[in-house]
Parts: sequence; structure tokens; C-alpha cells
Amino acid sequence: MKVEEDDLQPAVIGALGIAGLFALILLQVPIGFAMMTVGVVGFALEGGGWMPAFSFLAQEPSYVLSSTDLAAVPLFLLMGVFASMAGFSEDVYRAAAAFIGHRRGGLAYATISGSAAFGAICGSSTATAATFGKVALPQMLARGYSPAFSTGVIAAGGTLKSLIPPSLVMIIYCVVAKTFILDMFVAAIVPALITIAFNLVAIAIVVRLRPQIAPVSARLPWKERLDAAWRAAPSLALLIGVFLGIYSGVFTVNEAASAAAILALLFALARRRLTWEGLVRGMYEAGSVTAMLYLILMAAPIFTYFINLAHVPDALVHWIDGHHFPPLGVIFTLTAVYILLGTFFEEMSSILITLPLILPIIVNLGYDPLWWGVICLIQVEMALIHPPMGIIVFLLHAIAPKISMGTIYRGVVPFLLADFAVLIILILLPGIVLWLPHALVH
Amino acid sequence: MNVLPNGEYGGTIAAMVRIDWATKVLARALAVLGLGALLCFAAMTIADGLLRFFFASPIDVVRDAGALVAAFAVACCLPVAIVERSNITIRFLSSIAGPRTGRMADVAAAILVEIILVLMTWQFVIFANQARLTGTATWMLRIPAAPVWAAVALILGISAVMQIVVGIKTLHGDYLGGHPTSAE
Repeated sequence: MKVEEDDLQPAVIGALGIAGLFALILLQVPIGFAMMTVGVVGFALEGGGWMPAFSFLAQEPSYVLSSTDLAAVPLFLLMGVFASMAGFSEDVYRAAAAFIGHRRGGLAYATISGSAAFGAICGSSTATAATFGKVALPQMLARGYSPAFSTGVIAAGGTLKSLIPPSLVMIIYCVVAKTFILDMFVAAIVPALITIAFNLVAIAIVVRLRPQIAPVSARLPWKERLDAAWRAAPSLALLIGVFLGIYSGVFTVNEAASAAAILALLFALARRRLTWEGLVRGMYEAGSVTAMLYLILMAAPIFTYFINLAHVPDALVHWIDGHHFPPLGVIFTLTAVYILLGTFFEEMSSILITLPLILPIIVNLGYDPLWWGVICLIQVEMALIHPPMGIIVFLLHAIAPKISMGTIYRGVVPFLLADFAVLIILILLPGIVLWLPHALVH
Repeated sequence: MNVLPNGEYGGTIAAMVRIDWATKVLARALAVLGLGALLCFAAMTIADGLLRFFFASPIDVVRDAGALVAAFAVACCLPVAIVERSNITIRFLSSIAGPRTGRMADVAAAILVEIILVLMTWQFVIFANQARLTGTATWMLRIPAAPVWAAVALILGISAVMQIVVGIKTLHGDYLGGHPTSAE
């Protein structure tokens, strides 16, 4: 009986800590600072003492700040800044539109393909959606595409970034879950291709059912197509260079990020698109996003340490084991919880807050952390466009205020359904995610 | 609000507007400095790769100092997120309980953030001092780590001071924003 009481106390403190974390977040404390507060106070109350608890505020952040793996995050953000300045998004979109724009829904296919390609050389989903909102939306509307369909396609294209390496969410997941970044990049390839294919199929079905929302336009002569392809060549070279460099093992992720940032900067300089003002603005905006991400990354291990010390993950694992829940039932329940959390929380925070609790359950059920990472990324994708907090929907509404939020949300429905279908397939068939990393390892 | 008849601010408010403007400029300059340093290091990383591949002659400092450069570069970005309040915050309370309650929560949150930043600064000072006393250095070129951690502590201290400005702005409903010319 005494042992049970001793076991109970840390678990109760852990549960109170989690409740405290959500209370602080609801009281509008920035999530990173809320995690640090709960981690430090919880550790001290668990008997660790105040001074050792305070020491976490330097020990853990110093590891995160000096991580050379994580240094890829600001470098990929800078690559995105310079790639946008160099006009890569316009080039990629125009090349895709030149080749397939004349088909019914061709500009929509071009937007998805262009977003996927640009997403690979841009660090952020919102930046990809914002750029295509400015580049593709006016062209689609001018050619008679419906506003709902056009914005839906652009929003869906923006979300692809989360699943296309090198994705920042992927890097951050790997650091927190302690998995290899390169393995994650490899594991995401097949799911990313499936997601792109499902988005293209969604377009095909929508334009077949309602052809009036995406009129056919004139076919461009071959000279113009080749000109567009030539113009897009540097961005495609950068994309292929980064991919080949990372996957062939020539570059580490950090070296690839360095090369990508510098090459994108050189392209922007060579094209005379780089202004001093734009450079400074781009850099401090990238700095702001970097700091935002690092704050949560510095806070996550402090919070995780407290949660682990309170044996909360163990208690959850034992509870699930004790009830003999079917693994698929647990996974679908967790997926539903994440989708629910995604309606209130910024997508990356919901993963980082819950990962210390959820990952032990996933591993105990016999699943691979790489697979769960991909599932999380698809949930992140969906959270970017599903109501009521679809950040990309807000963004597109800001770019095109005449198109109502309701119209944009209506437009994203086919793509949400496509993402949902991919999610269910990958949950039911984890081998789709894992065969490529396993094949490459063996 | 201490606004002069010609629409300009007077006295304490004018001083606060100047301080607010200065914090923004300093925070942005630090972010540009940090990421500029990281970009320079990225260029050296490429040079190191090329030299290693073609001449088997790597630049030792690239592998040796990467962690310290990353720590300094990223720490330089922290103030800009404080000043621009870009840290991820869920503004659920403001939307359900109204702007007044939301602002009260924001002020309380700003105080908590200030406490954490002060504690972090204090702990990084201790951390840097320990690195100095133990002679912590990079493994190949023996570059001392203490100055970098001292710089991180300094930047966190600057962030804590900036957070006070942010807290005062929050308390007064953000009317202090703007360029110092509006105070002259």
C-alpha cells in the first residue's frame, strides 16, 4: 500500500502539471514559456529542489542552442527567404502552367506540382501558400477558375510542405523524438508522393464533376514552354541538388542547408532581385521564426524531464496495457485527439507538447517512431487548413479579402478528404512509410 | 495619455516611444547579426566541403566551432521574437472573455515571461562562469566556450529588458508603438 502511495504522488503532480500547462496556455502565456514554467516548478515540487530546477533553464537550452543539426532550421528558413526573392516560386509555377495549364484544371495541377517543388526549397508552409497566393491566384481567377476551387488548391499546395523534405516540422520532430533526421526524410518520400497524387486525383474528380469551375485555356507554343522551363532551371537545379546531396550521403543535412541557403542567395544576387532593405527584412523575419521555434525546442526537454520524472508516460502505457485496447483503436483515438487539438493549437505546438506523453505509448504498441512522425506530419498538414484555426486559410483571406473565409473553407474540403484518405491508408498500412528506410538501411 | 495638442507625445510617453523604437531596432539588428554570422559560417561550410573533396584539406574551424556559432547565431534571434511578440500564444481567452480580460491575462503572461527570462539570464551567467572555471573548449582548436555562453547570457539579459518594455506596452494597450519622430 505504501508503495502505491509513493507511486501515486509523482503521477498526481504530473497530472497537475499537465493541467497547469493547459491553464497557462489558456491564460495566453506563450507556449514555450508555459512549458518551461511547468517543467521547472513541477521538478522542484517533485522534490528535486529549486536550485537544480532553475539550472535546467541553462542546461537544456544550451544543448538545443548548440545543436548543429538544428542549425539547419534557420538555414532552411533563409533559403526560403532568398528563393522567394529570386522569384523561384513564379518560375516553378509558370513552367508547370506552361506544360499542363491548357488541360481542364491544368492551373490547379500546376499549382499543386509547383507548390510541391517550391515547398522543397522553401522552409515554410505558410510562405509557400503566401507566394502561390500572390502568383497563382490572380492567374487562376483571370482564367475563370472559381474562387473557392482556386484558393482551395493553393491552400492544399501550401500544406504539402510539411511532408516534403527538408521540412522544418520534420527536423523538429526528429530532435524531440530522438530519431535520425535523414531516416525521417527518407520515410517521408513515399507518403509525400502519395499525398501529392491524392491531391491531383482530388482535382481530377472535382473538375470532372463540375467542369465550369476550371475552364480550359489555350495551349502554349513549344518555344514559350521551353523558355519557361529554362527560366525554372535554377530552382529545379537547387531542388535536385539539395535532394541528391542529402539522399546520396554527400552532404549532411546541415551542409545541405548551408549550400541551399548560399546558392539561393547567389541566385537572388545574380538575378538582381536582392535589395538591401529586402535582405534585412527577410533576415529579421527569419530570425523571428527561428526564435519562435527554438523557444519551444528549448522548453520541450525541460517539460519532458518533469513529465518523465513524474512517470506520467509510464502510467499511461500501463493504463492502456491494463485495458487491452486494440492498437488500431488507440491510434485512431490519438489521431482524433490531434485533429481536435489542431482546431485550437498551433500545429507544431500540439505535437511538441504531447510527444513526450504519446511517443512511449506508440513505441509500446509496437509502432515505429518514424511512422508516427509521418502520421503527425499529415495531421499538421490537415490542421493548417481545417476550421476554425486553419492558418493558411486565414493567410489566403488576407491576400484576397474579397474571397470569404467560408468560400476558402469550402474550397479545401476535397483536399482535406484526400489528406484524410492518405492518413487512414498510412495508419492501416504502416509498411508504406517504413519500407523505403528499411530497404535503404539493409 | 499625455498627448500634446499637436498630436505628438510628451514627457514620459515620449521617452517610452523612443525606448520602444530603440528596442525594435536593436532586436532586429541582433537578428540580422546572428543570421549574418550563420550565413558566413554556411559559406565556410561549403568551402570546407569543397576543399575536403578536391584537396583533402578541410577547414578545421568549421567542424570545431559549428556548435558555438550556432548557439550565438540563434541566441541573437531571441530578442526579436520578444519584441515582435511572435512566440506562439493561444489567444482563446481574449476571444471568449473580451479584450479587457484578454489584456489582463496578457499582462500576467508578460510578468511570467519576464520572470523566466531573468531566471534564464541568471542561470546562463552561472553556466558561462562554470565553462570559464572548467576551461571548457572545443576539442580540436581549443576555442574557449565561456565567451560564447557569456554572450548568450548577455543577449538573454537584453531580452529580459526588452520584455519589460513589452510588458509596459501591454499594460498601456500598445499605444506606445511607433517611430521616435512621433514623439518629437
